[in-house]
Amino acid sequence: MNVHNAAQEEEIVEMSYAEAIRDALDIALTTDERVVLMGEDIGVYGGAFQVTGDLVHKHGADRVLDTPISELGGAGVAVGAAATGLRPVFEFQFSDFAMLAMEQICNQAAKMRYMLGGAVSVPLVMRFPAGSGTGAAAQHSQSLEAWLGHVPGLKVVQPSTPRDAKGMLLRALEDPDPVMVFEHKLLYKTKGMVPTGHYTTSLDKAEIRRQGTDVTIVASSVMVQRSLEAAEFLAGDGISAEVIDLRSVRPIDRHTIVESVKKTTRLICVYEGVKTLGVGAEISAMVAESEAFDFLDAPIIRLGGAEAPMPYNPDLEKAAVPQVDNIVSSASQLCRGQL
Amino acid sequence: MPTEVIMPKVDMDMEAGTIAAWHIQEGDPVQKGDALFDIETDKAAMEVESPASGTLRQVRAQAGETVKIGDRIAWILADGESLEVLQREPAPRPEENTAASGPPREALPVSTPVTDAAAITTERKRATPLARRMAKAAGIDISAVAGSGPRGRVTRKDVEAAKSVASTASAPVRADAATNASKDRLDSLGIDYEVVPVDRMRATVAERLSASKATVPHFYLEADCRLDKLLAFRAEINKSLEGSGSVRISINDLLVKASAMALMAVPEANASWAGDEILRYRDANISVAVSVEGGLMTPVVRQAQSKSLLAISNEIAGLAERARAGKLASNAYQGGSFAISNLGMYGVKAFSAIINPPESMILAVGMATRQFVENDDGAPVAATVLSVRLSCDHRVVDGVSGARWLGEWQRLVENPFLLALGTS
Repeated sequence: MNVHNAAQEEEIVEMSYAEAIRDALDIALTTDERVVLMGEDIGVYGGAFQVTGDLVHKHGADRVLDTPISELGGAGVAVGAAATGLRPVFEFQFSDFAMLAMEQICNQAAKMRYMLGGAVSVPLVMRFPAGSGTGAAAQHSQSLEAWLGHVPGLKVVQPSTPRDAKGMLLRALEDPDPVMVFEHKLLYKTKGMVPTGHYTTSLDKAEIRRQGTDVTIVASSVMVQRSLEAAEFLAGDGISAEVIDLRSVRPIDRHTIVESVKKTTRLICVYEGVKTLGVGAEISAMVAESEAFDFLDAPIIRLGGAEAPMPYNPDLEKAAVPQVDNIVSSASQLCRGQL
Repeated sequence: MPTEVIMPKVDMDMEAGTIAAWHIQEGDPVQKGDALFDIETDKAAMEVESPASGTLRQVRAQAGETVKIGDRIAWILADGESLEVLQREPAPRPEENTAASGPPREALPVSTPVTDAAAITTERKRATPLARRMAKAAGIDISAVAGSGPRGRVTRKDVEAAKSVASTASAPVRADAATNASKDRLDSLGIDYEVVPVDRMRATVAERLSASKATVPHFYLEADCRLDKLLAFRAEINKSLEGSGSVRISINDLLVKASAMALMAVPEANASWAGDEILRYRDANISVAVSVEGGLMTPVVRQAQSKSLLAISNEIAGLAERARAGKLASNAYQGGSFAISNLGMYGVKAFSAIINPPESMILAVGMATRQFVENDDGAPVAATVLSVRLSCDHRVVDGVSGARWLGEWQRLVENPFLLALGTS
């Protein structure tokens, strides 16, 4: 069940991130009768962010199920369905609403295999439209990947490109355990080249998006694109930044990060979740504990979300999460020995 | 319970200490507080007191052996205690493995050395992990490397700079490749020579001063002072001291006092470079260069501005004696903000001294000479003239502040009664 062959990978076309996810769901519904989609308004309405689109018309209302406005109930049905043989993909309208379903995610899905001595597994995929930047205010703009990343028994990923969004979703559907997929809302309309057939992308490997020698920038989700833009600016300033797309929050690809830091001697973690106790905090600690410690030539820097509820005011919302400017100035000061 | 005797940390950069001698032999009784053994660091030897009373057992480092800080070197067993407790203990780790695991060494309690606790709590040099590792690998004393980062942090770049200096300027510091190469060269040229091993003091002097000369921007100010009044002043003081049993005041004592007062008058010159800030001292802590067997030591006269000439004189004599005996505690030669070095007695007319960081000035005192100078009426008169040269760290001291300091110093030396007046 590892990497499916690339036989069907005849073509590579441009798609948006949302289209790539829909393509993955379409392939899964077509090729595996155990796959069912569940979520609020994912049927005729096509999903809060139009990700499922017209899949209900193609695959029918018994494969693409509209669930009532009860995240806890819907998640419970999905967990039960997964435990008893189906391959459900549950969509939250906003990742923030996952808090209503924490019991099912953290206490049931994450622990069932362990508590039943391996007799049962929960091959569940959950999708979480996440992040700020859409003017959706404090209760609809959070980045909660660190919350779920704290729970053993879950896998937590944050694809940052259309290609990864599709490949990681198809890989998640093959996984015997619950996989939580955080999709940044600002990414849905971004475009990229995506193979049309079935392929999978591993759920535990970070990806070096740009090679560099002076500083390692580990970024996740939408911060990957911002870090790449920052790296371009920095290059003009004589600073060579290596940008790592974290991709997986649990497990974290320690090896890729540690090796990069050993090469560049400097580390910046860029993430949208609240800075304190966030994903970057974990990466910083992990590097400090690793053999890369002896290679550090500067303090480790975290650029994370503000210690505040996400503001509604668009200027404040922008200021509350790292932007390209912040990354450029931090990396530049770090490499010039000013931090 | 038997008491451990471990290698104490008596110097801030110390990683290991060499046992110079044991005062108590294995199996002999010892009282708490007795001198147990001498350790030798880069700069000095010092006595370590016994942490407990009992019998010295299981000595596992003999004189001449080097032991890492925190490693146990012996046990002291109280009456009635036996070695059986000790037999059950796991074998000591080989020295190479000490970094691998276990509790941090500094956390271990150390037996009390005969030194001020201030020396032990002196702040650790700021350096990145990479810089520390590189310095260690290159055999460079990180405390001697000037840090260019925030708060004086030493980074890779600084160690690389120090390394390139060390490999060119102070090649003799490391005995391996460079020395062998030059030996080969001398041999091939048929030149006769003798090999003198480099002890730790020489290596420290070489590394520190190479780093200083390479990284501290020196500039020099020179002045001639009329010394006649000071000589007369000194003669009168010493005459008054005759028969009192007190030491005689030296010219150097007077120059130290003048330096202290000048530092108080020009506070911007009494400071150290700390990377992104300057630390300005509230006292005049003056290092006095003392030549010792195999090198030099710079004991510090603290708060010299508020000490009398007699107190300064006695203190310098005591410090010099301890330095020559190799018994100077590390805090006695640290913390200076200014240094004075006098080669006049060797007939040197004038010289330029190298600053010893973190000090930012050093005054090189040459020989006093008899010269004809013009008096107020334009007639030549014979006078005693002293040439001095002040080295300044331009990161801290500008030309004008250095000149103001030197001017004030000259005024004090030429009007020596001011030295007795003291600082207001």
